[in-house]
Amino acid sequence: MTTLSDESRKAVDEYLRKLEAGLTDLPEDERADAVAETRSHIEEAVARIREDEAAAVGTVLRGLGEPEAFAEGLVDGDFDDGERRQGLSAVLPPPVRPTPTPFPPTPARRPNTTLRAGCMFLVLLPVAWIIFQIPEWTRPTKPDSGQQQWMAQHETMQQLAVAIQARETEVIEALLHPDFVAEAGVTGADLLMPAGVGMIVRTDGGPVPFEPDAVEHGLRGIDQMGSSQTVLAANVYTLKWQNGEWLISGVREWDAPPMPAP
Amino acid sequence: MELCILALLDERERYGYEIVQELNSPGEVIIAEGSIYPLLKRLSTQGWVTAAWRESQSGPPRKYYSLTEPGRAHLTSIAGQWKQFTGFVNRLLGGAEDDNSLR
Repeated sequence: MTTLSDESRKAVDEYLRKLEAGLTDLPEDERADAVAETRSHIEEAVARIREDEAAAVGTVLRGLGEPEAFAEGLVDGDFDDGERRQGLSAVLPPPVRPTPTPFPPTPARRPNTTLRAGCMFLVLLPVAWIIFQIPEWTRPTKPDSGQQQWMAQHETMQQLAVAIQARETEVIEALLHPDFVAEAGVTGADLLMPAGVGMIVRTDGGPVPFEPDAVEHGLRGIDQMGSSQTVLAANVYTLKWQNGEWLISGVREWDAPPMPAP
Repeated sequence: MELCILALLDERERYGYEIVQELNSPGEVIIAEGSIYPLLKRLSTQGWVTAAWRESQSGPPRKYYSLTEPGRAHLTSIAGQWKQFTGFVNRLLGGAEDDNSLR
C-alpha cells in the first residue's frame, strides 16, 4: 500500500468522496467497489510516477477527470453517451453529435471552411479554365498559323483524353458540348464519348448525355490502346446495347492530321 | 476502444491501470484514464468480461478483468468487422494511389 502524505491523502479522499457522492444511483456494493478500484488506480499510478508526490497525485486525479463526470460515466455504464453501440459501430469511434444551435443562430466558426473552399477552388479551377477556353477553341476566326490551327482543332481532344483518364466527370461533361464535338474534328451526331485514344460511337444516335457506362467503355478503349495522353490516333468504337450491357459492335480508325511545321 | 480492451484481455487477465498503460504506450491509442472504468463496467454488465479482486505484492489490491466465453465470441465478431472495414478502406486508398499515378 502506498503511503501518501497527509496533504496528498486529503486530496485523494476529497476526490473519492465526490466520486462516491455521484454514485448514489448505484447499489451500495457496486459503489464501494468503484471507489475501491479508483483508490487502487490512484495509489498504483502515484507510486509509478517519478516526481514530487503532490504533483503526481494532481496528475493522476486530472487524468481521471472531474469526479462528478467520472461518476456519471460509471452510473451510465458507458464512456460516451450511455448508448450501447452494436456491430461495427461498437468498433468505430462514437458518432460526433452536433451541438444545439441557438435561435437565431449565431455565426459559428468553422475551422475547415477555408480548407474546404481551397479544395473546391483547386477542383473547379481546371474545370472553369476549360469551360472558358471552349469559346476560344470554337471561335470561327482563322488562327495565325497552321500549327495554331491544328492545336485549336485537336488540343481539346487531348484535354478530353486527360480528363477521362483522370475520371474528371465535370470536365468530361463540359467538353461533351455538341459544339465542341464538332470543332474537335470528329463529326457525327451519334458521337457519345471520345475517350482518350478510344472513342465511343452510339449506334442509335440522339443526344450525348454523360453515362458512367460510356466512361467504362472509354477506359476499356484506353486500356486496349495504351494510356497515351496525346490524341494523335484513336479508335472509334461503335456500341450496341444487348442483353443488358454495352457491346462493342464495330471499330474504325481515326487519325489526327500531322501537325504543320511552324 | 472496446475492441482494443477485449483484445488485450484475450491475451491474459489485466487490471484497469495496466490496461490504461498498455493503450497509452508511446505511439499507441490514447485513452483518458477516467474513460476506462465506465467502459470496463459496461463490458462487465454485458457479460463479456468478469472481474475479481486480488492482493498485489507490489501495491494496493487490484481488480483483475478477464474475458468470458461470450466476450471471446464477441471479440471474434467485431474483430472480423474491423478487418473487413479496414480492408475496404485500404483498398480505396490503394485505388486512389493508383489513380493518382495515372495523372
